[in-house]
Amino acid sequence: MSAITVSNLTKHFRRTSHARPGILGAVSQFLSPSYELAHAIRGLSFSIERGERVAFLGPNGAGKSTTIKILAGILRQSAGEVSVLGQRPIEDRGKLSYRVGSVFGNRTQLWYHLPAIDTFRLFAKVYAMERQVYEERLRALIRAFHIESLMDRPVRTLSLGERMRCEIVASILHKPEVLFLDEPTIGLDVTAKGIIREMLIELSERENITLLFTTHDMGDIERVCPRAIVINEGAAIFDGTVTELKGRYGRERIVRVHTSTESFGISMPGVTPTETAPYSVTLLVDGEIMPVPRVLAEIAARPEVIDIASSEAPLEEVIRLMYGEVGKNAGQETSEATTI
Amino acid sequence: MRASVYLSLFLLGFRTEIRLFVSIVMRSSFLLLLLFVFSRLWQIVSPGGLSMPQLLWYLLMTELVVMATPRVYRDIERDLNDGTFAVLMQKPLNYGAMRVAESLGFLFGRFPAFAAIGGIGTLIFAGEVTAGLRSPLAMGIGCLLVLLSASVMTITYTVIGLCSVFLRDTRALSMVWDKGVWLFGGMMVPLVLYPPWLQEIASWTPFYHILFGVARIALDGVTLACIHSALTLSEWSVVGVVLIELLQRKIKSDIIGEGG
Repeated sequence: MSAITVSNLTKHFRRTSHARPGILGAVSQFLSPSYELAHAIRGLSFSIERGERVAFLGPNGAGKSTTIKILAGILRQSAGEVSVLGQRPIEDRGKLSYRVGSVFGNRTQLWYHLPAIDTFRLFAKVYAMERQVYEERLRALIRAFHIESLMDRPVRTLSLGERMRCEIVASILHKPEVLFLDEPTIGLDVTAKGIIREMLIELSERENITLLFTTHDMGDIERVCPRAIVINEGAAIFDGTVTELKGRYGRERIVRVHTSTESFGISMPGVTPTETAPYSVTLLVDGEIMPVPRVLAEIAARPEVIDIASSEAPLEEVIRLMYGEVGKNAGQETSEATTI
Repeated sequence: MRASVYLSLFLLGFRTEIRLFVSIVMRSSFLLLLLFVFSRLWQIVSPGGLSMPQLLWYLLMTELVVMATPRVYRDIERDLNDGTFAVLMQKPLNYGAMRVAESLGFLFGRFPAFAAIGGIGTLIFAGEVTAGLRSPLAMGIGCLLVLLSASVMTITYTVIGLCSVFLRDTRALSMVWDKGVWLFGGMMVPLVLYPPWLQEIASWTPFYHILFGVARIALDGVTLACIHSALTLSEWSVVGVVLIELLQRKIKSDIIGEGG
C-alpha cells in the first residue's frame, strides 16, 4: 500500500512583477500592481510505498521544499492529487498530524534553555499519548538513539550532533508512519552524520516508517536511501534506485594521477581536470567521448607519472552532471513566469 | 484544544524563566535603581499633593506590569519570518495559544521575583507601605491586578506579533503601543496629575486601564474604579483572544495559498 501518492501535482505562486526599475516604477507598481505566475511544480507524479526510504533531490529552487510543504499540509497545490497515508494533507491536516513527523536540520523544536526531556513530555501531551505508552516509547528511543546521558542537560549545552538525535526522537515520539527529513545532517561532522544515518535506517526497518529525505549530502543518499527522486524546475527528471541513477549517468570516471613533476597537463577531448595540486591532478573522464582505457594508456605512457588510480564518479558528480544536462535543455525552453 | 497541553506550555515557560535567573537579577537591579532615583526626585518635588510613598508604590506597580510582560511579539515575528510558524502548523497545536501560554509562564516566573525585590526596595526607599496597600488583602488584590494587566499586555503583544505577517516588521507598532502605555497609561506620573482634558483623552484609550486603572490602588486603595478596570481588562483579554484566532486563520490561509 502506498504511503504517499502524488499525481500531476502543479503549484504556481503569484508574485509581484518588477517590470519597471526606479522610483517611478515603484510608484506605478504601488498604484497599479502587476503580478506574474511563478511555476514551482509542473505535473509531478510519484508514489512511495510504506517503509520506503526515498531521497528527494534537486538543485535549489527545483521545487523540493514546495513539494514537501504540500505533502505536509502546509501548502495547497494549484492542481493535481496528493494523498499521504490515504488522507488529503490540507483537508485532513489535523488527523494527519498524529501520523506524520518532520525533522528540519536548521530548525529546532526543542526548548532551548530546558533539557530535551521537557520537550518530550510536552509532545507526549500534544499527541495525547497515554502515560505508559509514552514512557515505554521514550525508554526505547533513548536506548536506540543513545541519549541517556543527555536527558538532564539543557538543550543549549548539547553539540549539534547530540541535539539532532534529540530532535529526531522528538519527531518520532508519537510513532509517525511517515517522516519528512529536511537536511537532517546539515552541519554535522562525519561521525555524527554516520550515527544519524545508521539510526534512521534502523528506525525505518524496525518500525516500517516511510522516510522522505531532502538533502544535498550525497553520503546521506548513498547510505540511507535505496531510491531517489530527482526533480528540477518542478518536474521529475529521475525516479529509480540510487544504483540505477549512478548507472545511467555513470559514464564518467575519476582518474587520479600522481607525478614526479609539480604540474601535469593533458589535452584530450572528454577529459577535464577537476582538481589540481602540486604533484597530483584529478581528471573527470567522459567515457562516451573518450574511452577510459585510452586515457589511462596515454597517461601511463608519460614518464613523469608515478601512479594512476581510476574510480567510479561519486554520486555528487553524477547529480551535478544530471542537473547540468537538464539546465542546458531548460535554457532552450520558454520563460518560466507568466505575467498576469 | 486540550487544556493540559497549554498548562504544560505554561509550565515550560515558567521553568525556562526560573532558569534565566541572571536575567531576573539584572532586571531587578535596574528596577531598584529606578525606584531609588525617583524616590530621591520625589523627596525634592512632590507633585499634586501626592506623597512620596504614594508615588513610589504607584511607580512600582506600573513598572511591574511593564517589566514582567514578555515581549512575545519578537518570537512571533521570528517564527513568521523563518518559517517556524508554518512548520508548527503540522502539529496538533494552536500556535497563538501556545505562545500566550508559554509567555504567561515567563510572566508568572519573573513576577514574584520582581514583586518581592521591588517591594522590599520600595519599602526601604519610601520608608513605609502606602496607605492604599497597607492591608494584606489590598496587597494581594494589587498583585492580582498587576498580573491581570500584564496578561492583557501579553495577549496584545501576541496580536502585535501576528500582525508582522502584514507589516513585515513589528517595531513601529510595538513602539507606538509602548509609548502609548507610557504616555496615556501614566507610567511615571499618575494620570490624576495630568490636565483634565488630557485625562479625558487618556481614559478613552486602552492604556488607561492597563497601567493607571491598576496602579491607582497605590493612591486610593481598593475602590470600585479598580474593579471596573479589572472587568474592562477581562473584556479586552476576550477581544484579544478573538483577534489572535482571526489573525491566525488569515495567516494560515495565506500560507496555505501562497506559502506566506
